[in-house]
Amino acid sequence: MLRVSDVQVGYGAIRALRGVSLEVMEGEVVALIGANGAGKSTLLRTISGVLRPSSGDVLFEGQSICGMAEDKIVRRGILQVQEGRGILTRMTVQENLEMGAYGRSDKAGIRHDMELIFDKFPVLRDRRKQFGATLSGGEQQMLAIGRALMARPKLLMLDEPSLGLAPMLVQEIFRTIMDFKQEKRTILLVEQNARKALQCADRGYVLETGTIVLTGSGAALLKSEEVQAAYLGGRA
Amino acid sequence: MFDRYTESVLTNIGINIIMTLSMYFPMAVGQLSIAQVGFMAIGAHLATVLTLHLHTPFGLAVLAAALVPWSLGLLFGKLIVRLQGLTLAFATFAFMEVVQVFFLNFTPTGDARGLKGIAPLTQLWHVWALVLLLVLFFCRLRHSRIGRAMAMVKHDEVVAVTLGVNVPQTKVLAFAAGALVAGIGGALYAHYALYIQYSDFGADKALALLTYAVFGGIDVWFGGVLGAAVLSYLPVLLQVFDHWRLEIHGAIILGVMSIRPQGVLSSDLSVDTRA
Repeated sequence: MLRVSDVQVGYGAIRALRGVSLEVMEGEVVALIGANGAGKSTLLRTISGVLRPSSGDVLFEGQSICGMAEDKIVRRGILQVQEGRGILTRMTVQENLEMGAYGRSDKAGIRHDMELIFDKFPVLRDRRKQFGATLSGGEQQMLAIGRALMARPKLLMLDEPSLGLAPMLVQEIFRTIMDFKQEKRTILLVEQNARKALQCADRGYVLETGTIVLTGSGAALLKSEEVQAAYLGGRA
Repeated sequence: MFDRYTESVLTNIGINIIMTLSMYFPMAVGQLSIAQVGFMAIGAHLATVLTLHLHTPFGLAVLAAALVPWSLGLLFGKLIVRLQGLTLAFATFAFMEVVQVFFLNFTPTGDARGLKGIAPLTQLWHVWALVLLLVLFFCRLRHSRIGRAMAMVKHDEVVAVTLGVNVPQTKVLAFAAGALVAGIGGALYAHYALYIQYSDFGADKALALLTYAVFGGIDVWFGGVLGAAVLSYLPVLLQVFDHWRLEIHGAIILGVMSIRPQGVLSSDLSVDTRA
């Protein structure tokens, strides 16, 4: 579904991505792990159209989306849940979810999806009339994910969903991602929490200072010595 | 149905409501626009020249008074789409001033002398039918796709983009819609007041409309209806108002800002804010 080919991206003189290629196929969960500053967020931003690569291409469903306007890319079906979440703070939980369904006009479908999301995240149902700003970090993260789901994305990109959350909430988030896997959703998951990310993923890529150094199935990467040493705290 | 005097008062209130609501289109995307009065001027002068000199039927004249401001609104809207806050307000203020000076000097529309002898073609039901239309429109807007887009643009442009909203297009459309309504308001005003001149459409009028909006509630469109209805009826009750209109408008704005900045009616009156 998504193919990134040999993409180079820079911030001025700084080369953030030096020839990165990756693929996400329909129905898979792909994890992208790496340390801070490796370029993971840069890659997501390039895919969503915020950044333009200086060379290389990004293909979605066979068509190049390189250089396309961000809002057009979203309307094509690529939704990103950012770190920092982007919650509409002065709107209620329900309104935030409604805004996620911006591109849709099927009222019944929208209501149905909203109920599904409340089933998935019961705490959002409790807080449906509260302002986004009054939610805790974990709740905002769930709201951000729920909102993205309201748009019925073809590809959902999650940028560090567990960042800054308490361990219990981290578990909940990854449980949700496992549910996504069951539901055969297409997910690109960027995470610093390598262990949990690889446990959920079908396949993974390891990004280090702008290049992909390793790729394989989630299980294979979990067992690999390099990944263990660099990201999983050595021999367990 | 009503005697002439009451009809006149009600027509005036209705026109003020229309003009105030025209401001709520750009405000719905978070843009404070003082240009509406300029579009009102364009609508008023254009419709008048059409009915007075060219004997155009009223309906066509009003249509022209809607379409020309709409087109100008699209053009000007594109120019200002990147502006925010204070610079935006200044740009729209400048537009109003430019339009005013234009009509001051433009002889075919009477330059400094204005246009008199306009046919009293505006009827009460014209005005209130439009008010009703606008009210219905704003009611339906919230649950429509374009309404959601506007709410998001107003709230947080960056987030709006991440949800697929074409932000510049939404802003330009909102601005042009406000211009269209202001143009119609101007045409209706001209055929009610029967005499218009450039000075009718200046800072005084802009301040009056702003006062209605600020007082009634800037956040929500029904604030505009309330503000315009109450504050344009007040001078009728208190005749003394007239000479001190500017001062009183200023005082009202100051008062609202210190007591309840969001105005009488606001969006949080109906939402649960318990944390």
